[in-house]
Amino acid sequence: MNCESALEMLFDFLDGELEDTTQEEVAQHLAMCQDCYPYFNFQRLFLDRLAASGDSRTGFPELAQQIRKMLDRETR
Amino acid sequence: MTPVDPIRIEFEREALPHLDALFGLALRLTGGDEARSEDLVQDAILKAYRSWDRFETGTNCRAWLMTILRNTFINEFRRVKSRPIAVEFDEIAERPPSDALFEADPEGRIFERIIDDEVIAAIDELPDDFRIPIVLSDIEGLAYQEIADLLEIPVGTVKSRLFRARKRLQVRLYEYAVEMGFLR
Repeated sequence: MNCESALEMLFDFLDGELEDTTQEEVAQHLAMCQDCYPYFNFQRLFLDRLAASGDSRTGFPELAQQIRKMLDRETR
Repeated sequence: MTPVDPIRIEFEREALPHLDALFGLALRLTGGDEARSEDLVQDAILKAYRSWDRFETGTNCRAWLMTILRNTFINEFRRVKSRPIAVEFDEIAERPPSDALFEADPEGRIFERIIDDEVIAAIDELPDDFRIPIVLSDIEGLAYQEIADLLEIPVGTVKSRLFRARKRLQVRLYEYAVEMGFLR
């Protein structure tokens, strides 16, 4: 695998969307390639950061109250 | 004393602890619209309550509720599809090149320094057609095919939207990092 094909599959690889053998080929390329590895690693960190932002879910205290009232009406 | 419905008790015990997660997902899908997100959570909870007999106790209630909310959102989104065509957002103005952040900070130190609010604001700013795939993929962890099925678009379109949205976010984070003095 060369850099160009690896780069074409950048996000497919990071998203785990490739066939096992192709996934492995890209991984092998990255293990050897000093040009591609830093870029792939950067993109991995970026995606991890996006995923982590989903954990900061602020509560909305009135919502539970509203939901209970709605369920009251539904039960009746 | 009013008799208490055991189903209602069970539903509250299983489902209501996930309200924050549901509301968080709704906020990201709507781009930070609180009123729409509240409606969305209420609609999803009501649907879940009405079909509670179809939920298998012991399975993942959070995942079940999140799926209901996603589907509710997507159905509504498709119904009001008469929105203006998505702006070619990366062509709006002069922007730093898409790899500016990588060039300036190849080790990604910015990702440790940036606060969640700023990441979220950058996601919320994306136009619907780009934000929704990003939320489904990068926050909710759905596969390309699942997103394609939900949005009724080809997998290739999902991929190209994800690609462009991710590049756009990196440009936005680059601008933020410069603004905050994290990068020169």
